[in-house]
Amino acid sequence: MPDYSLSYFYVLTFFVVGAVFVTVLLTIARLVAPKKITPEKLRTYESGEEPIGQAWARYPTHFYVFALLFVVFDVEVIFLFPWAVLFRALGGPGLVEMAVFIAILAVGLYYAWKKDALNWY
Amino acid sequence: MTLDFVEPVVFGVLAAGVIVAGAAVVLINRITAAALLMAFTFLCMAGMFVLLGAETIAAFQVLIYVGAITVLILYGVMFTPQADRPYALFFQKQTPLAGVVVAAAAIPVLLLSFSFVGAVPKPGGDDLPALATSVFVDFAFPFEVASVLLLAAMVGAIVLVKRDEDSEARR
Amino acid sequence: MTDVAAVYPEIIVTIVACLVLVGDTALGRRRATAALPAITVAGLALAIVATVTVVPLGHYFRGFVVVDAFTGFFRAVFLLLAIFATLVSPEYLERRRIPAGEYYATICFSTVGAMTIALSSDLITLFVGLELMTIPIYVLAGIQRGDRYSNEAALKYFLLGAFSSALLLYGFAWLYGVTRATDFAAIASYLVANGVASGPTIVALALVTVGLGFKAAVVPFHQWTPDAYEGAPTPATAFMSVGPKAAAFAAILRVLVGALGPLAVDWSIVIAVLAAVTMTAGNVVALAQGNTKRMLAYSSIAHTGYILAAVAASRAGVSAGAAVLFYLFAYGLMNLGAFACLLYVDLDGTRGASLDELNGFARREPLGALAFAVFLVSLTGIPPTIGFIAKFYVIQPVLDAGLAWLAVVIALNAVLAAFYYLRVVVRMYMYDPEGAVPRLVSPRLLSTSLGVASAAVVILGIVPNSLLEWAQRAAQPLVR
Repeated sequence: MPDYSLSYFYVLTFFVVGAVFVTVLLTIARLVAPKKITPEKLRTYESGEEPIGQAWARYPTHFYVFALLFVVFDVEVIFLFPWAVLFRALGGPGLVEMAVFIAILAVGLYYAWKKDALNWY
Repeated sequence: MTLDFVEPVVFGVLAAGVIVAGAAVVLINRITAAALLMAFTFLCMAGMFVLLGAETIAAFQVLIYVGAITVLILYGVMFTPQADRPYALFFQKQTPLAGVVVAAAAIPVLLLSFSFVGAVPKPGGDDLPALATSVFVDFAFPFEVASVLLLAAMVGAIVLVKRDEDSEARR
Repeated sequence: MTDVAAVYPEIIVTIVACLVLVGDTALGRRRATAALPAITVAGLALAIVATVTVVPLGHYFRGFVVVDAFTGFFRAVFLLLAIFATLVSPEYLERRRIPAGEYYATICFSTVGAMTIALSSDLITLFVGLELMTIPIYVLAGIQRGDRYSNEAALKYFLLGAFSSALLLYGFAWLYGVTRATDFAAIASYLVANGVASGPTIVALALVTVGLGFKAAVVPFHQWTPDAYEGAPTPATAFMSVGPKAAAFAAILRVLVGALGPLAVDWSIVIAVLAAVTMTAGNVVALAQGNTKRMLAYSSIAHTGYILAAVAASRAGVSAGAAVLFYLFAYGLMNLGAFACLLYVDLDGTRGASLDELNGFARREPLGALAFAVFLVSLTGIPPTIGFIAKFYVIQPVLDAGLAWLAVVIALNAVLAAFYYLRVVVRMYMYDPEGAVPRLVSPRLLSTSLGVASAAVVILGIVPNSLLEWAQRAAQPLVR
């Protein structure tokens, strides 16, 4: 068996152990714990305040911009990883390429900033 | 010690995970659960990539799909008014007809896909250097165009959801 | 360094887009209204100058980019259309409070994408270009946010556009699975070496045809077109009915005729049938429309059919490719112009003028009505306009390729189309304006650019030779 598969075998083992551990503990808790349900207990927990309406509330759409900016920069990071690993091998041309890539996206960040898309309110 | 039997077993588990979770995404009533199950499907796909020896792609799958795309979907869910529907989101009257059409298209394609042989990738790992070289040396031009694409998408998203300056002023 | 020099026009347009975005935030609202269109037009014009290549023709960026006569032609067409679209827009954007900076930047981004399609010599470059071309167009369709029809247009266009992109990409994956290449030349030589089409090749071909058919609005993949064109703000419709269409045909020529050319026996009959269905369906439904904007949307579907007929005739050689290019140029000019003529009529929301609302338009806005009439006559295909020459040059290769029945369908459709195009002209010139006619606006920039464009439609209809020679040179690289 090559090292590659072996290293991921450890990962797999962690997954399995984690899943089994959580499942077993939760099952035990479910079996052992006493259950006395009252309406008071089922209410949404609001730090002691009286809850108003459902726990599910709609959010204003402008928060979407944050999620989207996150995705855009996440994709940018994806490109940064392989570039950083091979930084020396890629050399000057690689540096220029990445600089152009980041510069173009920086225009987007500047635009978002100036258009108040980053204001959290 | 030989562990070669592990690989087919892991593949089977992952494949079952993708298919069952994928079907559940479509069939389940609760939209949040559907979104999280979709993340699980993506995670199983990442496992598939690991099996194929493409660990970098697997890492990207986790970062982009399990991370970013799921966040995006969950945001989308939070913007949607929740109504308790008596039915699932999909699968209504047209189901049988749609099933026939999809089967008619998918089964021949499925059968044909078995004709791709002789290209079994060797699990090896350490695919990052090869990937980086191809992205930054061979695919340099599409790579730069992709950054313009990201910029265009960002500007587009902002202009479509940004609060109106006029309505803001009126408030 | 020559690699960079090979894509100067694309770099310039990208910089223009960034400048417009920065300028939009840095300048005040009033100064931006005047400065942004000026920056855009100046930058696009500079890019046209840069299309006169400073590098020898050939492959760049490790074979992912090809600079040839085909690239040059399409670059010029896309840039001209973008300039035209920019010139007709400013007054409308102001009137409807559409964010101008994003609007112009979006047009520039889309143009970069379209040019990337034209210079691609590889499936990857082509796909990235196609996405960069279409994603800004979804935004453009929905940019008038307060308008429900604009929202509907953006959503429908986006959903079907994303769907078709997925189909296309799946087709590319199959193509790679069969040929193990993404390079057009390598795909073509693999197909030549391995003879007849196998099952997987047919799957790839079908998926690619459907995917590109969606992008070009070929019937039966056209359902998004009428709603998207009708709901989008009118200047945006004017641009999206020509820019993306030309880009989609650039992609069709590069992929179907270029990479999949060896399979022409398999696809040409399918494309010919699709062409006949497309032009007939487009024209018949256009006949029934009472709204000019929706009518022009269906008529643009019909024109897709005519162009597709020339693609189907590709075995006729250079003349078929030249016919596609010439038609695209003519269509771009006259269709963008026709949509832009609706900008004179000040209406609520994004919908276009109904036929009644155009009654007596000639008396109220003589110059605008003249331009509109010229564009409509050209769209019909009556001499002495560029539209006539374009149809004429399509029929020749269709006959050469042995598709006589398709030539007959084209001729019948031209007659059918005359009815609804000329109906608008009759309404404008021979009817009296009725009681509740909409208010008119006549911005000078709009009138000037429409005047120039309609003059070009007539002049190129009388002396089309240099344009045709250019189209023939540009179609040369497609012939193997």
